[in-house]
Amino acid sequence: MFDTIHEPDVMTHMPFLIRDGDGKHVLLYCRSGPADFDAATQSRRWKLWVALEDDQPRRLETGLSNDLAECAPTAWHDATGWHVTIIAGGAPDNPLYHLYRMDGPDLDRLSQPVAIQATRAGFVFGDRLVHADPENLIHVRQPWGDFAIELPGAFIYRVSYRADAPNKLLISGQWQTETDVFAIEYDVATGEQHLLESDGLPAYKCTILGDQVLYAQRIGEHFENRQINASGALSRHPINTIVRRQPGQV
Amino acid sequence: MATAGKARLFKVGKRSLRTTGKAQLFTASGRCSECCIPYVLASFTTNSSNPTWNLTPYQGPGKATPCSFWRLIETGSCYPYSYPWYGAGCVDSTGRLVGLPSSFTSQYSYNGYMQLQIGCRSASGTQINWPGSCQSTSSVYSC
Repeated sequence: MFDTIHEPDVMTHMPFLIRDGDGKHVLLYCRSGPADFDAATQSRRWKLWVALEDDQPRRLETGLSNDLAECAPTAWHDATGWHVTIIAGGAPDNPLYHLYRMDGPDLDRLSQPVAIQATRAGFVFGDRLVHADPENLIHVRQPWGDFAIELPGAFIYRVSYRADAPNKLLISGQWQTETDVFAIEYDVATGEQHLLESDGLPAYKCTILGDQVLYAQRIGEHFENRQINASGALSRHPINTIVRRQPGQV
Repeated sequence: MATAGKARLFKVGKRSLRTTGKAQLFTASGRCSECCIPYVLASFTTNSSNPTWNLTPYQGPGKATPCSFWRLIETGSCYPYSYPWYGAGCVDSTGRLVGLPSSFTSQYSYNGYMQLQIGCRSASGTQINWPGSCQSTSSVYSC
C-alpha cells in the first residue's frame, strides 16, 4: 500500500499508521534523503512526511528550523480535526529534544508546533501525556492518575501507541549492555506486556493497526540506515520485564 | 594564572593587571575566582558509528582555568530531573582536568551531544556556574 515511500538512498523510519475520517489509511513517518546525511558526525537529519492511501508521499511542513530532526510522529483526529505530536531537536546550537504538539482542521493546516515537554521519546493522546527518560523510565501522566513504567537496563528510543488501541503502548529501544534492539507492547489498562517480533526479528519502532504491522528494518551499516517494511508474521511473546511504579517511587 | 602585566606579591597571594588593563586577584594557591568565566572546552557527537570521544587532547596542565571545575554532559537529554553527567572533577592550579578519562564511549545508538564544560565557583562559594542552559548551576563538589 505504501510502496511509494521507498526511493533509492532514502531512509524511512518511525511509522505511525492510522485511518482518517473516511476510513483511509494515513501513514506518518520520518524520511531522510542523501542530502540529510552528515558524514562528519555520521548522523542523519530526519523530517516529517505523510503518505495517504492512493496518494503520493509528501513532506508535512512543521515550521520548525531546518536544523532540527523531526521524528516519532503520532496522531489522532476528532470532530475538531487532527492532533499530531512529534519529537524534534538536535540543532547544533541547542540539541535539546522536545515533544511538540500541532493541531488543525486537517494535516495541511496544522498549527505551529508547541513544545510540551523536554524529552527524546513520547506522545500526547487526548489527555494522556507520555514521555520517557533516555534510560529505564517512562512517565505516564493522565487526569485519573500518573504512574511510571520502569524498563530496567534499557535505552528507550521511542514510545508510541496503537491507533486502534490507544491503551497499548509500543516501546522500542535497546538493551544497554547489548547491541540488540527490542519492541514491546505494554497495555496500561491491564499491565499485559509482550515482546514483538516480525519475521523473527525485533519489530523495531513498529506501528500496528488491526492486522497491519509496519516496522523500521535496518538495511545498512549504520544504525539509522532503515526502511519501513510491512511485517510478514508478527509474533508476540509474553514477558514480565516492565514494572509499574507510583510517581516518585523510582 | 599567567598573564602579561605587572604583579605585586603579598603574603596571601598577589594582585596583577590583566592584558585588558583590569585588575585580578589571586590567592596564595593561585585561585582567581573573579577571572573564571564558564565555557565549553570541547564538544563531540557520539552515535553508534562514532561512539568514542578521544579526550587525551584535554589532559595535562594548562588546559583550563586553574581551580575551576569540569564536567562531561550530554546536552540533548538535559531535562530538569535527569542527570546527564558522564563525569566531573576539578581543575587544579596548573590547569589540569584532574581525573579526566582518556576517552568517553557511549552505548547509546542515537546522537549524544557531548560537551566538556568548565564551570566556575559562584560568588557565594557554594555553587558552580556552568555554561549554557543545561543545568547551569550545581552544588560545589569536593575533589
